[in-house]
Amino acid sequence: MNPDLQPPDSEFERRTRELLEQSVEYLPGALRSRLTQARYAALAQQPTRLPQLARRWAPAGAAVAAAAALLVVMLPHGVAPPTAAVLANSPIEDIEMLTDRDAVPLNSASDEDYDFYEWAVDEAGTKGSVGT
Amino acid sequence: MLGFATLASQSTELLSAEKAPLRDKTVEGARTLETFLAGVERKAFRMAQIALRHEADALDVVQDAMMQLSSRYASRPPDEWRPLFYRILENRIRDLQRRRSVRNRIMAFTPWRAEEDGDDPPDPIAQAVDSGPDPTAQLQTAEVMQALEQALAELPGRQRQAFLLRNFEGLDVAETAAAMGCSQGSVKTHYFRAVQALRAKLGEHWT
Repeated sequence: MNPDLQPPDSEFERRTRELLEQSVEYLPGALRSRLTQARYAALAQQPTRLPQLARRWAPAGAAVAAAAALLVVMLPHGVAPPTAAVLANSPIEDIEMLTDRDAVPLNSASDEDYDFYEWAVDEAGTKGSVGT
Repeated sequence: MLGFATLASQSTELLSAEKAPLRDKTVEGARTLETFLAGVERKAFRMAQIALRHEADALDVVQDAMMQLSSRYASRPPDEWRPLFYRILENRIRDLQRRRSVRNRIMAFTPWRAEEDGDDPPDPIAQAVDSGPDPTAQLQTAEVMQALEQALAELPGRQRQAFLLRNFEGLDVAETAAAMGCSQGSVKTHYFRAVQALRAKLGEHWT
């Protein structure tokens, strides 16, 4: 008999299928539980997509970091004038010092002259006044 | 500095907006795989048990097949999982049968070791199917089932595989061919021969 001419679902085949399916339905509970445990163990093996995600966004992260570095470099250097909030919270003598345009700019590039000013103050203290 | 803050916040929003669907897809994929495995595990176990005639070994090969599918093929389209899973399962069954065959050959030269190991044949009572509350029907079903299992176990591997995949698991010819790694014509031939052999062996149980 040609296998292609085999009836698709004979009585014999139906009977065997029913029996096999019945045997699956009545599997003992302990066995079903072990199969469930095996399934969970298998699912835990599933590779996570996080590495893929990290790989995908690595260029974007690098671009953000580069932009941040660029912004830091491009920021204007120098001393900003004191703001109103700073002035309001300062004692009166500090305000005078902060607003004094002729004050010695200790935190600027002229720090190199600090030794000179210190020497001048010491001299004034020992000789009475600088000009005498 | 404001530009940096804006850029950073935009990047964060973009990342979280992109992550959300990916996360959803991952969770959905895991659920789909779990549903698939839950749907095939019992039949797979019975197929392995019939082929190996050993419950613990059958559980091991089913777990191995599930792990292999989950770790290596979970990203494949879900409609490919079934043939893939049964192909992996059959490979595991065949590997175990080969190992057993080698072990048995070695044991044939050392009969005292075989006695020590106590590799007992499966207990037919322990393997009897719990088929319902009616003891008479249960006994009859158990007897017929045992005969069917015995007949299936005695079939050549390819015939047993073709019969169980087609008749029990319900795969079509193309899916069975994919699972068995052969042509559709071979599947039909194996299946036809399996039905003939089973009819010849089980005739008395089906009258």
